Amino acid sequence: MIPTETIVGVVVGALFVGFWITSFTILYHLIRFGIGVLPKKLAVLFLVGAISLFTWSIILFARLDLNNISL
Amino acid sequence: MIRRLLNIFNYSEGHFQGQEVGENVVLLLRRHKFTVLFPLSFLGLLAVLPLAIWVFLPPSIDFDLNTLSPLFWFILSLFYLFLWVLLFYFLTLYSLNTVIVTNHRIIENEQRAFFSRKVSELHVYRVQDVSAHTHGLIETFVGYGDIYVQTAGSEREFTFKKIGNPEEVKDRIMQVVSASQDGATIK
Repeated sequence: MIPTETIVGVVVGALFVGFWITSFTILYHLIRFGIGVLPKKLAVLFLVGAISLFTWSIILFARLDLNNISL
Repeated sequence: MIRRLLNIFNYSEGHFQGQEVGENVVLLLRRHKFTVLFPLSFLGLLAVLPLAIWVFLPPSIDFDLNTLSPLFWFILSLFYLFLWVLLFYFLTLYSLNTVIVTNHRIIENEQRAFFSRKVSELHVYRVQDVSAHTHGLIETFVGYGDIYVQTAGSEREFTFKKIGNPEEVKDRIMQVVSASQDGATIK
């Protein structure tokens, strides 16, 4: 039987990968097709926010006790 | 070096890919900010929802932030990651839907979704008629509307939707068209 820790790790890993694929798509569109100053400012703001929120999530995930999960 | 790097935030207003030699950007138009306000307000409400639940929770329920489990905070962080991506999805679509009026052409970039894009252009010398339409109470008070550009012959009409100050933009486009027909240069 697959341990809970592995299942949660794989699901969260997939969510994080999905987040970065979507983030890349947003940055790609803003940089590749953006005209004027606004898309560049949005791209920087998005990148800073995405890295900050992702770091926060990783820290919180690291603090989880996956063998004893409760809300 | 850093100053040159930061210059991209104020230097490229009048430049775009595919710009011809001697072509100057006269207007760079986007939809009115009011049009993106509804999805952003909805996301704002979702963002304060956890806080609102905490504030308006009945006093009978003992709810202490310090006793919340790490799992709760982790799920909350995932929720905000999702909201962040959704927020910038709307902002990306807003910023990529543009109309560029140059002294040679009018170019419409229409971004419907990710990887779904349409670019149309017409030469200003083919423009015959430009009209601004404002429909209803909200558009009148907020100050945005649609601009219709009719080209020569039986070609289709171009519509630029929800543009701010449509009357001013219409006048500006007509100035560009007149200058083009007279052979004058407009800046």
